[in-house]
Amino acid sequence: MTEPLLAIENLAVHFGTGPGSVRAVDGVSLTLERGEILAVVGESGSGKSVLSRAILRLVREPPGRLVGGHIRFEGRDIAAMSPSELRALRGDQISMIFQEPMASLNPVFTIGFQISEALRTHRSLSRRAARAEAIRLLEQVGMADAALRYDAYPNQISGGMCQRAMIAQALACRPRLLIADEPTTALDVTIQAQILALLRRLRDETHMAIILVTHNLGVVAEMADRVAVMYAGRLAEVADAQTFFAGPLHPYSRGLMASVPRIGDRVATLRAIPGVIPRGGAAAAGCTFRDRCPQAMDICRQTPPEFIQGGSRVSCWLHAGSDIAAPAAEGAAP
Amino acid sequence: MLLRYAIRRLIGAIPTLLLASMLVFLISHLAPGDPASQILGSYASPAELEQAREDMGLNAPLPVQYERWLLRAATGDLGRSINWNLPVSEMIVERLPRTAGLAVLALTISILLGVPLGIIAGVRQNRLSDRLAMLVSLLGLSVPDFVVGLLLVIVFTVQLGLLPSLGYVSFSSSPYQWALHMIMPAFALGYLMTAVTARMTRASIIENLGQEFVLSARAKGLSERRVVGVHVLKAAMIPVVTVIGINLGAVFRGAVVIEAIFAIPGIGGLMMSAISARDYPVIQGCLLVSVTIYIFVNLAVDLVYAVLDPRIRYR
Ligand SMILES: Nc1ncnc2c1ncn2[C@@H]1O[C@H](COP(=O)(O)OP(=O)(O)O)[C@@H](O)[C@H]1O
Ligand SMILES: [Mg+2]
Repeated sequence: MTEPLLAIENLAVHFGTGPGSVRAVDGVSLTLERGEILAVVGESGSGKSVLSRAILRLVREPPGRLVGGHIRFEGRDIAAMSPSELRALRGDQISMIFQEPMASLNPVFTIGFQISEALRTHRSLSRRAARAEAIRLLEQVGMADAALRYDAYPNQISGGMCQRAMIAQALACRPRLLIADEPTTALDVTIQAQILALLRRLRDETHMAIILVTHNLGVVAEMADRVAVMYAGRLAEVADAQTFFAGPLHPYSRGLMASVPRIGDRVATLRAIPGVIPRGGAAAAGCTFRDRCPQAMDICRQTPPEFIQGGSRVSCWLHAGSDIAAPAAEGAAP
Repeated sequence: MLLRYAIRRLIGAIPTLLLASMLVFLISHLAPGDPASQILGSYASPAELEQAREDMGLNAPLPVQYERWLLRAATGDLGRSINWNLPVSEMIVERLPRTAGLAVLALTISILLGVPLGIIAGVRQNRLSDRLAMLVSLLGLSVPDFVVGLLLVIVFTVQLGLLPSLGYVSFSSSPYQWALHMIMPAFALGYLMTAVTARMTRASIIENLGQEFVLSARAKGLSERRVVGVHVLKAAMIPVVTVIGINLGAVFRGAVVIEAIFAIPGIGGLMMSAISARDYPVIQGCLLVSVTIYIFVNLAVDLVYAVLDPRIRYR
């Protein structure tokens, strides 16, 4: 088996220190293969954004703190990189797009300037060459009148167009991984579908891997090869998309399914599951979901579970008797 | 696009100018005191006074007087000083460069000091250098400029003997002497504006550092220097330019006091003497020139604004 593109091992990111600290990401392990689309799902506040930012070390310290773990990208540990190594990585080998496309672009520079800037940061290109390449990128992401739009300011184009511009900027240096943090949440339904189709097409064309953060299971069903369900800073379940939709193992995943958000739902909330996500992430011992779990048992208060069943990894005592997942190992690979 | 915006704003300034000129005209005409009796003195006969009023056009209805005055002003003729018996425009042309030089120098100091200070404080928010900078600027806000002026004189002239405390040397006769004479007044005048500019810059930098585009600028691999120095700075400069524009208006007001302390014969001093002498042509002339400058300065600020912020031009 060849080395995965990305291997996250036991990643922990906290906010603040002492008893009031928030464990936004609390021992997450994940792998990602080349060209794979991994969906990270979970309700709001479960740590999806912190996780996706932590991969590029974009969580500000302070208030955040990378407490431990490794982020191996093609064998190199991002968690141990120097600022200049990080800069060389960001936007070149790993790119990121965000939830609010309009706010993610600087309002006082043209979109063309911002795309060219990404190119010129990592490649020695002349201004003209960068402009030509940026226009080509805008065409690639389906921007009509790309040459004209090059000189447009973000407020002159729609939110969907801004997200296309952001994607063009992210693609500029042909990254091997694109992290998309709720890229369609702020967009209209039809635009949402267009952007998702664009991302899938780009994956097929360029074979880049995508981490797609969303709280919409409809989007997951549409897009993902694999699913990671996140809850209170931990992964509840990691499974193949097919396996997952055939029958999720974790009670939290089942609750997610029961709330049946379809593609186009803007706010697919999890009111189907009673209770709220514990603030501050996990208590030290036991399962983080136990207080909301309809099937909680005594043992759930004591030890955090971690099992492998079939090709899936699930953190739930209901599946005790399956293989025990080695800590910090990736259980989802068959 | 920008040119069209500029032309539109220029045309838009005309009504403002007219209104301002009307106010300037009315203020000096509704004020008590009769210019004719002032010229002729208290021993003039009623007939002589009447004749003088007729000659000066003071018997015509106000709108007619206004029209005549405005048309003459538009050609640069602001009338004759009653007190000094000189053409008002000449008096203003002689003194304006002194005030303008002082104002521009003070403003330049406030920008060159205030903006970098605000950037450093904003980027290093709540750390020692930030707190220190903000403390100094708070002092700037609470100490009146004439106190700063006097302190400067005490230190640099009286104690150290480094700088001349009084007088004025024109820039054209000796730029060096000009600077030597202007540096203290300009600093005294620019001190408050430096503080205001620094605080505004800091607040704006902090606000923009929290914007999402900063995260995405970092995510594309830009250095922190470029993120702050290009992306945050340009977005953050928009409100700072407004403050600088407001400062430009205030600087003329402040110049009046500072001119008096440092004995610089500028517009401020002229206006003060004209007011105490009830020299209406001079008062009107000074006001009209100041208001016009103010309006055009604001226009220029708005244009800089439009260059910085693309959202404005298309509104
Ligand atoms: N800058 C921050 N300061 C303090 N806590 C934060 C910060 N950013 C995120 N958190 C905390 O981390 C947790 C996860 O947040 P986030 O990753 O944004 O959730 P999601 O993206 O899944 O909605 C939340 O409890 C949130 O309060
Ligand atoms: Mg989020």
